[in-house]
Amino acid sequence: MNQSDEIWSRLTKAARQARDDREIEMQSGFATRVAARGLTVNQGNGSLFERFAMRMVGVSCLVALFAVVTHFSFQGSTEIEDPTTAFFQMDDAATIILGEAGNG
Amino acid sequence: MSDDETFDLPGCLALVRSGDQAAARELVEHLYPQVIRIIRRHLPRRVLEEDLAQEIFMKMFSRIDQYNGTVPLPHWVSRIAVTTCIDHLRAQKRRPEFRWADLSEKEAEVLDAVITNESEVAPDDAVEAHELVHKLISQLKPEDQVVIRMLDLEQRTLAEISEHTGWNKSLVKVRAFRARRKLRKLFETLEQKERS
Repeated sequence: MNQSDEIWSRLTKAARQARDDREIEMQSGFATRVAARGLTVNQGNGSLFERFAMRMVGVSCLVALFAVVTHFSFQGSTEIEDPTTAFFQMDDAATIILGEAGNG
Repeated sequence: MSDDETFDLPGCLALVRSGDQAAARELVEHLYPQVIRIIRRHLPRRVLEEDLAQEIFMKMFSRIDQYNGTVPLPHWVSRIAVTTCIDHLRAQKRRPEFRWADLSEKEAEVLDAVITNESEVAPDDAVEAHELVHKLISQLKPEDQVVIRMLDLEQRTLAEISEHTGWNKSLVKVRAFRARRKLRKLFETLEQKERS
């Protein structure tokens, strides 16, 4: 045992002799208050099925969000090279014709 | 308050799980002394022990459905209490450097005597020695503080520490080793300062 260990040993030996004279006294109403709040917290946690259901709602929202984002990004990135295909795919053909005539 | 020997813990636990408020109150009353002792052992006197006890019981109730009976309920609650104390120690301000100037006159005398003499500390100085030990321990990491208090002040075995903290014995040994090394360095620094 080196000197530091000996010092520590002597100190802790002395420290163990000290008595903690504080009473362990519970405030009146503490147990009732804590029990009531504790049970409320416990019930608030819900059953396993409830927690599972909430997780599933979260997962469903994420899937829906992913589907919407993917759908619009796919639409935005699609370019139609063929003018005939473009013509038949457009909602308003008259606008296209007039647009082309205007450009020409 | 219920007596340890006569208290029907499994029965009470079953009632608590079914939402019985009277049983929950009895459980709090039964475990309260144990929880307060843990708080007092690991945290300084200025801590509001009632608030911390309430936090520990709230955690206990919120996790009571997860308790599977592999360890006795008091040990399981003890682990919650120890973890909460560690969280509290972590949340406190960073530990200032240990300095002679921060000690009371009596504490400085005890430390000086224990460093320079090889004699035992006088029984009258036990309270000062206790405060001094706590100030020195507060220089350690929170987990190491818990281990060294249990080992050197409460004189618990590795198995007991493992039961009350939930850490395996190897981890407890590593933490004790790390704590002792830090304390050695601290004493060396103090001795150097004492000489200069």
